Amino acid sequence: MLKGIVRWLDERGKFSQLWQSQMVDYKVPKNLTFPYAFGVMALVAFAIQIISGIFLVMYYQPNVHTAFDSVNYTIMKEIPFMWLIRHIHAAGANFFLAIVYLHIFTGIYYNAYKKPRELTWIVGFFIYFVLLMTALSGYLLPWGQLSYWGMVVTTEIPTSIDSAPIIGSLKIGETISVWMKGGYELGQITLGRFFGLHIWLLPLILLGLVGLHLYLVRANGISSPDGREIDKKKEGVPFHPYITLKEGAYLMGYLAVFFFFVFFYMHHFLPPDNFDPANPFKTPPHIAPEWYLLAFYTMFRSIPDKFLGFVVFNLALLLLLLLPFLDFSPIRSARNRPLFFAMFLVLVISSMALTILGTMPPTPTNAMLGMIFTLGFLSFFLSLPVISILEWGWYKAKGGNRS
Amino acid sequence: METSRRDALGLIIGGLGAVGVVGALYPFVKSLAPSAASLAGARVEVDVSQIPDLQVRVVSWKGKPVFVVKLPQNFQWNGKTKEDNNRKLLQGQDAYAMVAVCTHLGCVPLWKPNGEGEFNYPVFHCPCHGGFYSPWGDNIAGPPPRPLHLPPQKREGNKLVIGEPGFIKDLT
Repeated sequence: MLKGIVRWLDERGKFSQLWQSQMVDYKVPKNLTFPYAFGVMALVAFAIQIISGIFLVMYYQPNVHTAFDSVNYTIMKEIPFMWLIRHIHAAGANFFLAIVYLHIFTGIYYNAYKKPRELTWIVGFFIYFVLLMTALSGYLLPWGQLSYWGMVVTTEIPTSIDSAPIIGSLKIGETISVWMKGGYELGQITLGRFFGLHIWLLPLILLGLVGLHLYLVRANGISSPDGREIDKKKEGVPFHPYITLKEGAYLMGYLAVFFFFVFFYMHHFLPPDNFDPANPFKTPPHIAPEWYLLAFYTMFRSIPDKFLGFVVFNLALLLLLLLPFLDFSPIRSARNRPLFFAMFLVLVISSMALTILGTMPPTPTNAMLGMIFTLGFLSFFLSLPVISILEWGWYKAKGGNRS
Repeated sequence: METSRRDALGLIIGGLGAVGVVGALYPFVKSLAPSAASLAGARVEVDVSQIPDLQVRVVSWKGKPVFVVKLPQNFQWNGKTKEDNNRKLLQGQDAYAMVAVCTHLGCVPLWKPNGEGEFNYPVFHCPCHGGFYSPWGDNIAGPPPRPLHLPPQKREGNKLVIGEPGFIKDLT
C-alpha cells in the first residue's frame, strides 16, 4: 500500500530522478575537510531563525509602549516555552553570524572565490551584508536600552559624510539618517519600519540570495582543499551518502553546542542592560554594537577623523566584495601559497584583534592599536595583487601557461 | 531596414516599462521620508517677549526638550565655570535656546534662579547626579563632561527661531 503511494507520487513528481541526479550522481572531491561543513551549518542556522522568528511574531507587539513588555513579560513569562524560543532566536542570530564568518574565512583560505566562482563570492557578500542589516534591525525590536541607543548610534553613522570636505555642505548624511529613522527622533515610526524590514523584506531577500548562492555552488562544483579542479566523470565521491552523513554528524555536534548555549549560557546573547526599557533621556555609559560589528566599529572610532573613519570602514567592506578581482594568481588554496598563507594569518589576527578592541574603552592606546590592526586588515587585500604577480612569475618559470 | 520598426517597438516598450518601474518605486521610497509630524518639530518659533526675565521655558525641538532662557538687561553672574564655550557663543544674546539634556546621563536639569546649595546665583541643577551648569549651559561642577548642546538658532525681533542657522549655525 505505502509502496504504491510512493510509486504513484514518484511517477508524477520524478523525485527519485531528482535525488539521483542531485545527491548520488553529484560528485564532490573526496578530500573535503571539516570547514566545508560551515555552509550547511549556516543553512540550518537560517532555518532555525525563520522558524523561531515566526513564533515570536505571534506574541511580539511592534509598539513603543508595549514592545518591551511583550518581549520580557508575554514572551518570557506568560506563554509556555516561549522563553526557549526567544533564547533560540537570540542565540541563533549570534551563531548564524559566527558560522557565516567561519564560512567566509574558509572560503578565503581555500581561494573558493576564484574563477569560475567569482559570482558565488559576490552573491555571498550580499548575503553577508543583508544578514548584518537583518540582525541590526532585529536587535531594535525588544526596545531595551541597548536596542535603542545602539540604533541611535547606528543611524548617526551616515552623518559622518557631512564632515567631508566638499560634499559635506550638501548635508546628505543628515538626510540619510533622517530617512532611516522616518523623522528626527528614533520613535514609533522607526520601530514599525524596522519590524517590517526584519520580519518580511530582509528575510525574503535572504532566501532569494541563498537560493542563488546554492545554485551557483552546484553549477560550478565544490572547490577542493588542495586547489585542484576534479574531473567529475572519473574522480570524486557521490554526495550521498558520503557527504550527507558526514555533514549530518557534524550538524548534530553543532546543534549540541548551540543548545548548550541556549539552555545554560545565555547571558551574553541577552545582555542585562537590555532588560531596562529604552529611555531616550538616559544614555547607558558603555555602548558598543553587537560583537559581529565590532571590527568595523573599531576601525570607525580608532581613526581620529570622523569622515576618514567612515571611508575606511566602507573601504573594508568594498575590498571584501572585490576580493576575487584583487587576487588573480593562477595558484589556488592557501595550502600551495606560502605568501598568501602568511597574509591570511595577518587578516585573521587583525580581524580578531579589532573585534576584541571593540569591547574595550576608547583610550589613546586602544585607538593606536585599532589603527595598527586596521592597517593589518587592509594590507591583506592590498597585498593580493603583489602576491599574484609574484606567483605568476613562479608559475611561468615552472612551465605553466595561461589556459 | 526590415528590423528597424521592431527595434523601435522594443525600445518603446522597454522605455515604458522603465518609466512604469520608476513610477511604481517612487511612492514606496518616498514613504520612508520623514513624517509630517516630525518635520513640524524641526523648526520652532518662540516669542521671547512672553517669557519673564530670568525665567526658562521648555519647548520641544526634533523630539528633544529645549530650554529657552530669558536674561534681564545687564545681567551679572558671579559664578565660575570649568569652561567658557557656550558663554562665548551666546555673548550679547538676551534670549537663547539650549538642548535640555544633561551631558552626563541625559536627565533634564532644573532651573534654579535663586541658586542651589553652595551656589547662591542662578544655575541649572541636574538632580540625577548633581551636575551644575551656568545659565549659558557651561558646566560648573559635578560629573557632566561638557556644556549643554546648543541647537542652531536665530533671532527675528521678538521671535527666537530654533532649528535655523543664525547666531548659532550648527548643533554644538
